[in-house]
Amino acid sequence: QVMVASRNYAYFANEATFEIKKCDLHCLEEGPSTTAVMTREEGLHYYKTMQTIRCMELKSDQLYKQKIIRGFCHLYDGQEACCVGLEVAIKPTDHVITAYRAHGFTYARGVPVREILAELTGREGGCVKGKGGSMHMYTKNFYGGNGIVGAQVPLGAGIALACKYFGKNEVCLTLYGDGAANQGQIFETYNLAALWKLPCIFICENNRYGMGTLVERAAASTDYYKRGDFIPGLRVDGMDVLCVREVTKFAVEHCRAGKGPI
Amino acid sequence: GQTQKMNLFQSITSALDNALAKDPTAVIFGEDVAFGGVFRCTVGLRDKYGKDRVFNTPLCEQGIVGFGIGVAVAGATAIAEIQFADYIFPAFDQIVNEAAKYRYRSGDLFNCGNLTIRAPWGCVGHGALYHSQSPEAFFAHCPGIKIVIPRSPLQAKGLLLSCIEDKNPCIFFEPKILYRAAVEQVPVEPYNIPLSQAEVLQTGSDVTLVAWGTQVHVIKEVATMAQEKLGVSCEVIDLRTILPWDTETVCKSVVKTGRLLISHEAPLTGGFASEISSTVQEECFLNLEAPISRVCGYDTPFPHIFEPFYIPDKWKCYDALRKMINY
Repeated sequence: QVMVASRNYAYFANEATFEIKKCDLHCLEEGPSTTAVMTREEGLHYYKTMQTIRCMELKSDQLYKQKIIRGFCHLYDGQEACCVGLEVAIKPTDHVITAYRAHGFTYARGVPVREILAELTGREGGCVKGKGGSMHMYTKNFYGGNGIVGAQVPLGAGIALACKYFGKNEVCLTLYGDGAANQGQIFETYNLAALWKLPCIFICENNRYGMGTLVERAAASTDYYKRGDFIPGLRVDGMDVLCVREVTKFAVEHCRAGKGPI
Repeated sequence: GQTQKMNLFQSITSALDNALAKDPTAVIFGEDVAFGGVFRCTVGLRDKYGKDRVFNTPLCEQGIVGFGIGVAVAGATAIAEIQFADYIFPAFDQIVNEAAKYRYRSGDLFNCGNLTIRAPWGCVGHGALYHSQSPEAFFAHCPGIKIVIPRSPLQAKGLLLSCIEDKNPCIFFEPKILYRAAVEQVPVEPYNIPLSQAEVLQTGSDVTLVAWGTQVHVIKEVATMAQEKLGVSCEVIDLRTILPWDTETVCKSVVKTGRLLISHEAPLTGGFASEISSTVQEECFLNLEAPISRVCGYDTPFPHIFEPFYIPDKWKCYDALRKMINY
């Protein structure tokens, strides 16, 4: 029997207000507010989710080095604030599609850790019955998990079109990396989305390296939030979960109001 | 001349080294080639020849090949690297519609023969859907380009140098599983192995076995098994060049043996074995003792966990051979 000492001398507030970084804007008059309110429950939830993802990714790293996970294993540790911030700002009925660094999103979208690890190790109990592995995890309203760089972006616009067509006021978060930002099909997608005013939120997760190449050596412009040209954009601090949350809420409102992609 | 022990990626580096030394217009580009490449095929080349001859591109295959075609048309020797053959599809349009047709459509005023595209190819044990594909069949359907696949370091260097010097755009697929696994004594000086010439590795009288790349080693083993267990003498042929392929060597062999087995990792339907099979039955119909056998991957995406069941291993080939003998 372990006795846990209770901290009955600590002061628990129900919620707190935080200052968040002002975002750089492109083609927007104003951005989200620079303060964010977080309740105790929210704080604990965000922390728990991010910490679970961190532990899961570090463990996957170990398993990969032990060759228990074979194939490929692209880890999300360090980027947890992105997927958690995004997930808490949208509804389960909204849609998400991303590239291959997808374990964090898979968890955030509701797949239990057990199924993720089973999928990584190629077992039947995995969320895709072991057939997809690290790069191809799917669940309801989460369209993967895509191996080919940039190929998921036109798909995301397609999902957004379906959202608009069915009129259920849903949006699609379409994620890609800094490496994919130089693929031709991304620009084709920007054009389509803007032309047809699709509720598509394009999110570039810039971890500064595309495969092995530093962004400055791969991109003529590393201002990825401006590269949609005629699509409004914001530069967000991806390491701050509240900043990501506030910007996502702002973007989601933008799309739900029928203003087109962002 | 002087030889050195090299594995496949080292023999590629050696070939590229020779090419850049001999041809001052030669340039190498692709994703991550500057530091040596994800498979170390270009290690040391940037230091030796400078950053304006060995340079990285952003992540855009269509751009890489399109750019390569431009470089070739302008007169420089372009050696483009696509990081994995599975990623070559964004560049498919450029290869098929631009590179392959350039000489024809300009009435020989222009051509992009100086272009060579290299890409790692084939299964590797843990590659899954997008790091294991063998797309040679897609390109075999396109007149105007050449496709070459080596089985070993010695072959790779000679064939790659021939591709670079060939006056047509070439695609050179390198079996990635052999990068470290295959080791041979390879000449340090440049040498060429002719394209469109298949090689008979072992002569035989009862069955002809045809394959390319990694699969050649599998059918060699099958030939030994057949000799020991069934007393069947097999003729083993490495096709080497997929397009244009050496119909003469294969047909001559089938006329002699009367039986043909073709094996490749790529899926069965529409795989290159179907082209070989079709041509051979046209040329050697009356010589055939049994239907031509194709032992290939299944008609599914390349699997993740099921790879050992998917690939046409020696047992599948041996089984097919036995059925042919007993036909």
